Amino acid sequence: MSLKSIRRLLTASLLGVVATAAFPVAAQEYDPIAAANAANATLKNKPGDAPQLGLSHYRNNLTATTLPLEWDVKSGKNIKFSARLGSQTYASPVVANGKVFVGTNNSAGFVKRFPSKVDLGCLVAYDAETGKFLWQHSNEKLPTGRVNDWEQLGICSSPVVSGDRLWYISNRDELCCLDTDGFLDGENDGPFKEEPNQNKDEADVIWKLDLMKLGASPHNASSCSITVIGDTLLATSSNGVDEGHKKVAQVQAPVFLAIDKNTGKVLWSDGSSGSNIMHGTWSSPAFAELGGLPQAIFAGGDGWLYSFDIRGENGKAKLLWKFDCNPKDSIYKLERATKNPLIGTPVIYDGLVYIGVGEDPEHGEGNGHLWCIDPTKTGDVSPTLVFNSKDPNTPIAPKRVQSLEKDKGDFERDNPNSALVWHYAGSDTKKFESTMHRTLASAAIKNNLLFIADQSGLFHCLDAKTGKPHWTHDMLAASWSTALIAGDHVYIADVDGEVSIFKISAEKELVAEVQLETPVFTTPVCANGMLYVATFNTLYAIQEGASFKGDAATSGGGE
Amino acid sequence: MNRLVSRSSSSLVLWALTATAVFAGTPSTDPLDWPHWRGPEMNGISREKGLPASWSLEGENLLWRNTEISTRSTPIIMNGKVYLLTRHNPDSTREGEKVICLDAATGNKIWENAYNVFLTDVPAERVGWSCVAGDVETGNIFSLGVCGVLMGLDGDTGQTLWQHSMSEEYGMIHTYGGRTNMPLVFEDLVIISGVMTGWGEYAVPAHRFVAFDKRRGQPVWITSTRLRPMDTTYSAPVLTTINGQRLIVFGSGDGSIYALQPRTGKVVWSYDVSLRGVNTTPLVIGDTVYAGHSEENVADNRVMGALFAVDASGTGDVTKSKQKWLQMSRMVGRASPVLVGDKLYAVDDAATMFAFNPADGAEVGKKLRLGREIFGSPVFGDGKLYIGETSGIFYIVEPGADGPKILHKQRLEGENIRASASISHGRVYFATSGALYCLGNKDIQPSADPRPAEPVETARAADMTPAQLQLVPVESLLKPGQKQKFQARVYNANGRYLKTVPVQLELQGPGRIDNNDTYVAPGDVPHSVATVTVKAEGQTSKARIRTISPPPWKFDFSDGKVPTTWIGAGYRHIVIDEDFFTTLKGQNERAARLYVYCVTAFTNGNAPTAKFADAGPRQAWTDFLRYFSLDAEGKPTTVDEAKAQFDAGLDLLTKEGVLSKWTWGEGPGGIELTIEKGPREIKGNALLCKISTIPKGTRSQGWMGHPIYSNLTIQADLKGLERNNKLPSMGLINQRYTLDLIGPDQELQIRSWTSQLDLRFAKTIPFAWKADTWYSMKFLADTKDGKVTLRGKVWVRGEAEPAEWTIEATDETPNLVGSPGLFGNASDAEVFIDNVTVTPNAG
Repeated sequence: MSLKSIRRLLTASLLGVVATAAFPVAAQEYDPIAAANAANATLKNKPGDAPQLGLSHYRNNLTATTLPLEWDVKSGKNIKFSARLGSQTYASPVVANGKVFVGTNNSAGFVKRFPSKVDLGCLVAYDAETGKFLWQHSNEKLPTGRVNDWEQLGICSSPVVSGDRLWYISNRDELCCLDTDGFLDGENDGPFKEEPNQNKDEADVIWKLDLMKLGASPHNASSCSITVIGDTLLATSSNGVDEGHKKVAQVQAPVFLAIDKNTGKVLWSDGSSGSNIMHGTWSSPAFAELGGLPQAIFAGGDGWLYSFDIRGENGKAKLLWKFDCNPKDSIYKLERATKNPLIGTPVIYDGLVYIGVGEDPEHGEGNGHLWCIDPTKTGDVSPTLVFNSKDPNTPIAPKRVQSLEKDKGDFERDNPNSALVWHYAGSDTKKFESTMHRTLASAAIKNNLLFIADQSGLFHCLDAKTGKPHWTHDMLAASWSTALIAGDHVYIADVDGEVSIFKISAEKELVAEVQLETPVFTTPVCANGMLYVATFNTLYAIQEGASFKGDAATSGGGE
Repeated sequence: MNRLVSRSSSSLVLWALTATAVFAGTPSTDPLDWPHWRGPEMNGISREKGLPASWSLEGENLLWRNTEISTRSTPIIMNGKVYLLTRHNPDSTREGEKVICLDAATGNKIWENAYNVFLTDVPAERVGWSCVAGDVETGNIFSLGVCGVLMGLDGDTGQTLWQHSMSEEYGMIHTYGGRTNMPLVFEDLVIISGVMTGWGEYAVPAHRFVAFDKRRGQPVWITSTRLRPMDTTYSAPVLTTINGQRLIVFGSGDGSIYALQPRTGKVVWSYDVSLRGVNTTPLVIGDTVYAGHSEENVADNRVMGALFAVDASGTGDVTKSKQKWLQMSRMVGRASPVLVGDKLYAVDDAATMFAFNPADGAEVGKKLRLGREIFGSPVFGDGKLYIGETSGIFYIVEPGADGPKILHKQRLEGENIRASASISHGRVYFATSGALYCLGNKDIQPSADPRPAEPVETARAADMTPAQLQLVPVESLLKPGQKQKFQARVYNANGRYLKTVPVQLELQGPGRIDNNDTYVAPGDVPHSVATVTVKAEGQTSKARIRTISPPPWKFDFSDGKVPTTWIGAGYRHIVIDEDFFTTLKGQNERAARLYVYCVTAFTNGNAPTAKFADAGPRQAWTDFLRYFSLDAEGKPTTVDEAKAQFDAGLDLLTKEGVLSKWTWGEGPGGIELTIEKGPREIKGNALLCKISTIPKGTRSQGWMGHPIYSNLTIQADLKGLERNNKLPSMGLINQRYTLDLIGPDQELQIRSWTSQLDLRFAKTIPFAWKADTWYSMKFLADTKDGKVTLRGKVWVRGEAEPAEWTIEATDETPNLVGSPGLFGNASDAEVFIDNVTVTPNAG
């Protein structure tokens, strides 16, 4: 899609919003915190918990709590505890029923049978008040090596917790259902009973589903953070390209799955992204009742956003709509690509869906696109459709490298069925500092103000309903994190280990920049009045008035 | 080689096997030259004055900008010329890599030497990773390309003086990551390094250094760092003198810093700091080495990254004894530090510049955030630091009393900077993904403070005691009957050359010795290896020789060995008895797999005993269980459970003589299994098995001969096994092209540059094939009229060979030479190979 046609569509869609007045009134009333609380009410957790990535299945990371605007990991000011993680931590913490769960690697060496130099994926449970280590689920590295399971990456998936069960995806691309109490409850809950031991510091597995045995081949990392709705888990298989990076290793593999949370049985699956996955499938699904339909929304490694009816149809996936998040003439390359996969998690806010394109940061920086989509249409709801001059009235299938190849007779037309509400590529895409770059993050939205950091470390504030840019801030550091909205402030962490805090405002007001000393590759969360941040190697709990004795940055205490 | 040959047929491309000296180029005596990417002192310091403090794209202090350049290579400047590696014909079917020479004053091209990128995963955007090295003595240029093409070039004309294909001759690995090391010129040597998996004792991968005679391209010494390193790396060696001893200091793929004697390759000391490879180029000031890394620390593997200082005056393992300081949590993994005044300036991977006290590593003053990511290293001149940030910002920074301050910042929209700046004759050069820039004030007369005196090497006369003997060339690849004369050089303990002594070669292997100092390769053996040893002055030294006749060849592996002459094959393959394997499989499937696992353990462990235990990080027992898919579900937790799983198979193997015995035990890591090799030899049909148990080598390629062959046909029988419903991929290599029978996609493909299938050259067709079925595969390369046509056939073995070719493709930008070889991806299951033949094309 050309910039010109994006602009034309953007204008048309904005006019459409205004003309139909579908949203403005409701927008004033929509309370994303109340929506998340209502969504989480069925999960059998404590009310103030943050039991999954992005708080609820709407994936909007926010809280009404007012959190500290300063802390000091050296003096311990406002630090409730610090706890050891491995040496590399990519999974954001989740908090439920008095425990914090973080995915990391084994460098902390919590479990005696695996010395810290044994590389593992570890899901670690801590006491949420004290940071005391409780138990660890240890996953050995895949024998196939870094193509499927990169050294030292640890667990990249954040679990979802409901009562005494949690579900996450290991570095071995196994969907694991664990007892949140581990063996501390004195029981080995099943059906899985083949744990190597029942030590109190190890995990009680309820069941496991090996997604590689279903055909998937994760590229470098398995990273989906599951969500749960009723009895259904939504997960992806992390399917990706092979070592040569030119083709999907297992084209027939299921990619988007609905699974029975009690048994691990696959209810339905879909592999629509198929051979068009550019790199990996590293996004996480979201869910919402939208337009009267229960929509399971998956972001594909092919750069398309898909919505399925969560109920499926006769054991098969039932596609509701799909939206191409890349301009049709964009090109996928290993570096300097203009076409990108989706890595961030879609967010649902007031009946609209938000997603930005991203890419493995190893492949450099690049320009991005942030989309706001109306989820009430069906079929291909992309802004434009591609045709070929040989059959100019039939849309052609998407292609992995470039969907619209002019020299092969491809051309595009506006899609009359477009669900585009708005598209944001930056306020001035000619300039680096005002461009929306690739992002690994999700939007955080409150008061119709949308906040998102891109991989290049620009923090953008937009009008969530119109896409109008309010301001951009250059953190001068790459960022992998999703923002946390807490009370009247928004917190964003970066790879320099700094957290920037802004007022929730259409005017830029930088309130504070606080150091954590170690890089942050995760998303800060708030639960029960406490701010939890996992840096590369330390979990911090931050609370106004708390005072940690000693150097929290190096003690890794809490035990 | 390929294009260069077609471009200038008069230029002899010498493969350095028997090349006689071609002395060319113009010596450089200019103190303002920048012949090494870190500058003449190899420390990122320029002594020049009058360097620009600001510039603009509109013209202020911008002397020229050449947009033909797209690279990560830092330019060098010598004799009024700029030299660097860069992409050639980017984003076209003719894309490759080239060394380019520009007029330093105008940026106009003087010459280029381009070649194809072949048999590598490296993305086009990472082409031009390394930097060339200039030789001030001869004016010649040395380069190592992303696919292992090592060249010595005439600095004036770009003519190739000699070259080596480091992958085909030494098994140098080139990965998707693209990391390629930089050559270093010292006296008569050009020294390069990389992870190599070669032949014989060098089949097991290690980060190895090879020193070549800079005039003739002959290998003089080879040194290995620790076996099986985690990473390929690009920490470039720097030259220094410590306590009167010449040393090169570098970071290795095994995570240690090493100091070697440059003339002999002798390891003087090593400092173990990182669990993964070290990529920063060390800075040597006085007797101290400063460097950084951004992986897990050996000292505390929970913490990533460190900046550290090591006293370089030690010997042996100095990890504990000579560490001056280690500041962990400093993610200084790419940029080399620089010393300005009394402060050490380092930039972390996230592009924040810090100043440190070099005495203790304490941070001093304020830090300066430059952006998001740093690849290049800061360069200091005329009171200013020059550095580019990856997203395209070029900075001029004042060191400042309270910490670094930005003097000038220029954003280059749409360009990435991954190279460092170079300074010469009042000009500052830096390269981006879109251009090469030359900054400077055109009215300034170049001038410089004198360079500080270099520390003096201890005089040769101070120690005339022979302590090291060097037999040169250390490696040879010969044709039948070819003669190779050897020279024995004697060095003292300090690595100073003392004399050359008469050679009295002792020979192990076929061939003969003429005249005491000359090896004559056998005339009647198509493939053979030999070792020649010399003893003199109380020292012993040896050199290795491969002799390979021009095809035809046939390999059936009936001697039970992976052909010793093959490169990149030994460690990744074993020879097994097919009939025995098939019988075992019929009786007990697990025993058949145990047979493969045990033979691998004996072969690669190079010992008659193997122990699988989890004590220690290698987790050999878990590895063993993984192979049988018993590391998770069904994992035996007691010796009795393990016995129940394996004893039947082990018993069968013992009865058949594969094992002499096996023992179960319990150790600190839990269950332990020890096996001992039995007397069984191969009785049935021998085949080559590409094993699936070395994660970094299950997808690999290997080569069989000289890299100068053309117009050959290679044929082999290949069979893929199946595990978890997954098939391997398997194929043949000919003239730097691969014919690949791709298991997961059920395709047949011809390609050369794996990551540039779409743009550069490839042909893929659907091709259904099954596991556990032998296929015959034939691959022909036909060179005609400056093009190469590749033809491949695949058919079920035993059936009639089809008359028609299964797949054909013509490359218009051809590889004109190359060694035949094998490709395989056994990540998911083993590949069996048998009856390999290589023949000249008919007619």
